[in-house]
Amino acid sequence: MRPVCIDASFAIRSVLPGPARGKAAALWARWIAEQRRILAPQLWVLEVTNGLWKLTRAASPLVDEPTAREALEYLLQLPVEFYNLERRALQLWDEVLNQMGITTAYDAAYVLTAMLHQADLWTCDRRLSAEAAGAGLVHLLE
Amino acid sequence: MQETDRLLTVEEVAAYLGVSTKTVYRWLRSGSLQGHRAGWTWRVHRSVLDEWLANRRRRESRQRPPEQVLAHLARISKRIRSATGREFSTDDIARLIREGRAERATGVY
Repeated sequence: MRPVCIDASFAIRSVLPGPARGKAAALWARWIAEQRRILAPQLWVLEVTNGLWKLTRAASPLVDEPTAREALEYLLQLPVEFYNLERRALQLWDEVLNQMGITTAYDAAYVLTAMLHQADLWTCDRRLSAEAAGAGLVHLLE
Repeated sequence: MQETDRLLTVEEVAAYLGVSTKTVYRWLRSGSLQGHRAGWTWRVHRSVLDEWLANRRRRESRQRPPEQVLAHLARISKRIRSATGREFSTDDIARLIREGRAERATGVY
């Protein structure tokens, strides 16, 4: 069974109300039932934290802070394995940023994590989905 | 190469974890533990092993079963909807993440 790699947008989609939240939840449930490995680069923790934090700090807060903190606490309880790319920075530069034309190292971190584990990469980000389409591993949740 | 990233043999991995070499081979073949084939045998980076162990410990120390976590995330989502009366599109969420990244670069360009 192929592992899956998820980005921060997928994680936040799993908790904010809106279209495809149910799909994200159903995918989590399926992967957990199938005992699939669910992977993310270590960057994921910071991006999820930052995204939820930003919701509480908007000019007119979109989510109150205790709720956003609780969402983070629960997202971190999901069985995600974190992958350290420290030894892979040059590979990320050469093979993902340069050769594949991914435009940020943040996105490249998700793509490389998926490539190294032959995993399906799930995101809500159209730009990432379009840029990494050539790798044949990206799934856009919409 | 740093000592912390030395390549370990299957025997060394087994001794480090206190399991049999048969168990280590099973993890390597299933892909649960990432290793490199070296002829007939395998080698594992020490850093990969440490990370694998940390993930395993994190998994074992989780306080709640994943099904319970998912059910609670659904409740949080409902709570946010009733408090704010709004929904977030997938594009809103992608933008939230991208803007967080751009903010870190403010002042550089």
